[in-house]
Amino acid sequence: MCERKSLFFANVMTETNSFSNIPTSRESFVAEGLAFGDDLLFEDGRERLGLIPVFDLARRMDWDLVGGVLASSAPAAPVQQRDYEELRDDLLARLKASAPFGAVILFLHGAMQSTLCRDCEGDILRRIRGVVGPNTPVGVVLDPHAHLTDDMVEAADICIFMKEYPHTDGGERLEEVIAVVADLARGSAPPVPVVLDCHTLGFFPTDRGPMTDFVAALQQAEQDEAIVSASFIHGFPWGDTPTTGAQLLVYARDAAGVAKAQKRAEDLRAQLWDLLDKAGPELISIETAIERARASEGAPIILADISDNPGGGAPSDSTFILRALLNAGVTETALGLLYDPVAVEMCHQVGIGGTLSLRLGGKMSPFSGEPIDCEAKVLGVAKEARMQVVDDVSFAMGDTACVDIKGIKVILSSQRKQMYAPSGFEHLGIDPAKQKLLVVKSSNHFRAFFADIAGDIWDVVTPGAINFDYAALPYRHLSAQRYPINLSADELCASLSGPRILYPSEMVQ
Amino acid sequence: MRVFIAGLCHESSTFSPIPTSRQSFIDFDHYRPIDGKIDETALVLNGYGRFAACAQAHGDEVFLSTYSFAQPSAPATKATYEGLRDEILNDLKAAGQFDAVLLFLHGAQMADGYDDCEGDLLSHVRGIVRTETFVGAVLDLHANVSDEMLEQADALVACRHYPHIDFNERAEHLYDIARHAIQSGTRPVMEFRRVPMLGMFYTTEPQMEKVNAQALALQQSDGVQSVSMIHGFAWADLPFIGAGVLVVRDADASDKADAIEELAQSFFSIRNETRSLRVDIGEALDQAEAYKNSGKTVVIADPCDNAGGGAPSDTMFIIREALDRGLTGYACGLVWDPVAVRMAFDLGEGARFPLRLGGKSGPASGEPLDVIGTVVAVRCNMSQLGIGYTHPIGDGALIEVAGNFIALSSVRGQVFSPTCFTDFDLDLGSLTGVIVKSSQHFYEQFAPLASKVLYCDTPGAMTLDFKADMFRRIPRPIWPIDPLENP
Repeated sequence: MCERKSLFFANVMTETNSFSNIPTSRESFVAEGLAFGDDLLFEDGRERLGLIPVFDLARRMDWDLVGGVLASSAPAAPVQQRDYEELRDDLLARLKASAPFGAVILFLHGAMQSTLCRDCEGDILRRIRGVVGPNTPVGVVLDPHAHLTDDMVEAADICIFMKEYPHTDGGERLEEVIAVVADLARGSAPPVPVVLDCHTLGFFPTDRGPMTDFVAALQQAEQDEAIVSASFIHGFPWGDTPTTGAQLLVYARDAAGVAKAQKRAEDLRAQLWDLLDKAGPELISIETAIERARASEGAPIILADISDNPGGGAPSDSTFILRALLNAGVTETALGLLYDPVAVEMCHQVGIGGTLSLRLGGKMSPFSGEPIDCEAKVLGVAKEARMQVVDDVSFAMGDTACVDIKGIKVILSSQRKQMYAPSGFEHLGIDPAKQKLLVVKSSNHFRAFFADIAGDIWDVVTPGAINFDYAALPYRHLSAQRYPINLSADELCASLSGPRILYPSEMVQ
Repeated sequence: MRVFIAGLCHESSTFSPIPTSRQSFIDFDHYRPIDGKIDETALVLNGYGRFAACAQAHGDEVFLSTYSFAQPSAPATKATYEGLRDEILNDLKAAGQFDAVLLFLHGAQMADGYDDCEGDLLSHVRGIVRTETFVGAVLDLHANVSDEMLEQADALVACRHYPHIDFNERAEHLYDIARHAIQSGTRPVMEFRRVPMLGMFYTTEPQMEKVNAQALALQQSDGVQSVSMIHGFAWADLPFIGAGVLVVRDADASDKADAIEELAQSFFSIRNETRSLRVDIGEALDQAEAYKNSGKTVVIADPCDNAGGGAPSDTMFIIREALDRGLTGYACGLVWDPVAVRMAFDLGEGARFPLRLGGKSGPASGEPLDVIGTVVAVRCNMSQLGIGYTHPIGDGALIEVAGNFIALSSVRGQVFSPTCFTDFDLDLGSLTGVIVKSSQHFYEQFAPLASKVLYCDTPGAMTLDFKADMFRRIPRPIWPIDPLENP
């Protein structure tokens, strides 16, 4: 008698900002999304749209698809240790109960830390390997804003990172992981990982500039028969770990392909170093932005408040840009989302058309700057509002309100949420296309949905929680040499370090 | 006898940054008994419930309309006030004829477009009922009594104590006045002598206690039914603001002008008693340190940030100074900070984390305090008992900072009860000082635990150093803005 095998699926996602002062606990996961078992596989009795390829794999292989844990939380400080362990151990217990094992497929972030563990993904993957043994395929899709560790690579059979930032290619990467896992299940040998440290801290939007070419080069490398997958891990400079920084991870199909994989990795690294000075966005101060904007006409200029992006663990209530705009007397401007549950409630009390004295923003931490005291008129309020991103995806914003302060319309929310899409303005009757200036508290994701209405997009830096002056970040754990903090551009050369081949532990023996 | 009973209370501050909506009443107390009938909930509502209990005891027939109470804050929106008023008036129109209408009101309620909500409500009531119907109201002694209120009501009775521990006693007193009027077929006469002063007058202090005794003696004299010392509510920019002596007497008794004048003089003569209790932050901490190891805690009231007067309850002035001096053993509460409470719940008990505390609601809140604190305890859905009410606190958290404790709440409210701290398992006896955001209502329950009670002046919303430029419409001269020698 043969018991059916399981295909175990789980999704644990948070991007830890070591310098954030927004706590992350079980509550944070409850607020953003926490589901167990079938609840993470099905929605309204139907297979979840994004998981259909996983269901298909289970059907093809005649496995039972088993849901483990879905835990997602807004980027913030390290997860409280007890809450991390509870989540992890729940996942492992569900995994154990699903034996015998067909395969494991995971969505992980790659930059999750708890208060005592700087590599939660490595920890989770090692323990999963311990449960399923050496021969069960384990495949992982990850976010490129990750800290690649040997534990992760050694414990998983395949780690494929999203190539695009904005992260629009999760579905494609999942298909690739599924293909490798299916091959492994049919008896293929595991691909051989080659890791190459790029010695670089940076921020790499791929929707424009030279990084689009770099993504094409990664895809070009994958055309090679000897290469299974080529990932560029951007790194997440606001996570303080020993390995923080950009890395390349290239999988050779087998031992014979390793030399090719090494060569590809070194070529890619050289290409990256060449484009470094052009890869990142031009960062300007708010004063410069206001000055430049005076000369512009037509479609709105979008100012990205990249230092206060809640999606990177910032409080989303900093007042640096708003204060500068008010001081400059700028009008025909909208700004959002400013996290301020106190002000939102006051606006709901007063109602549409009412005026009130408000203390705006600056509520969470020194990174928030000083609060702004002002007279405001309430233009709109909404209860339990959601930001429509695409047809089947929307994000909760909590209660929201729009206030007018001297011609600047500020969208307030009672939940910390990145401004992804125009609906964040539109749901309160503000037409973003009709503004001269639009300020969005987002680093890059907004580009996917605002590009159509933007005359131009400028990245504005402030003294917020996401400091782009990496040299000023108080790293305590980062040990490797990194451009630009302790390596100059001229010092980036092949002799710094070479490609490393990481075999799964049992292959080393 | 058939009695109509309703309650509508809000102390409205011109200077409060906190808006007031229908939700503000619903969040605190908004009760509508089914079919106007007495039930268990109605019986425990302050004042209003005692009216109902009196009716039961006398076998009188009653209709109970709504009872609405909101935490003191800015004047309510027009729709909020009119909606709550009309709920009462619609009941009054629909429920038939009444011998008496008894209302539990504040006396300092304002709304957008309404300087004098009580005067407005009473005149609407008058417009509905028969001419012979007795109309009376119990007020908070922090009322600003208007001519309209005096004209429209047959009798107004304010509580006598601050802390207001006697609302039920005064409700019973008004009920007796109403019964007497109806049974005798007479109506009392009111006399009101304004006393031009702005301030607070604690009835727990010896001079004011004497004035109160003098008032009680007058109330017990021949021909007098009731005497109320009206303290006024100073944080309202109104032409009829200020203190006064309010007498309800038999119509056929002689006027009480002389006795009232004497009482007004006595009241005015003690005007500085409460104000002179105020010490600055440095002195309050010096005194508290001097009482260290006395076995009991020093209670430091923070009356300038009293939510019960419309202040935000989120200033950090006193605790900041204690931390700056490196002092330990102080607790401060309740700091209204739903953002930090949420963070504390996210963190869980035992976590140590950077937090920005207080300073959330407006210029009167001062600067927020940035600390690295430990979450000592979190509690869901807390409440406290005080002066006849159950006051919601919401979710609460106790944060330890360098040997001191800050109690946070998600619902704004003043401190009445030591349970605001002890519900977090904090032992008040072990503390050097406990800083309570309250003007005086804390006194009843905290004084027995205290080696000393201090009243600390801060730059908060409710300073007693009134300045002429705070007001545009108040009558002048008025003490302490003007150096008056006689009332």
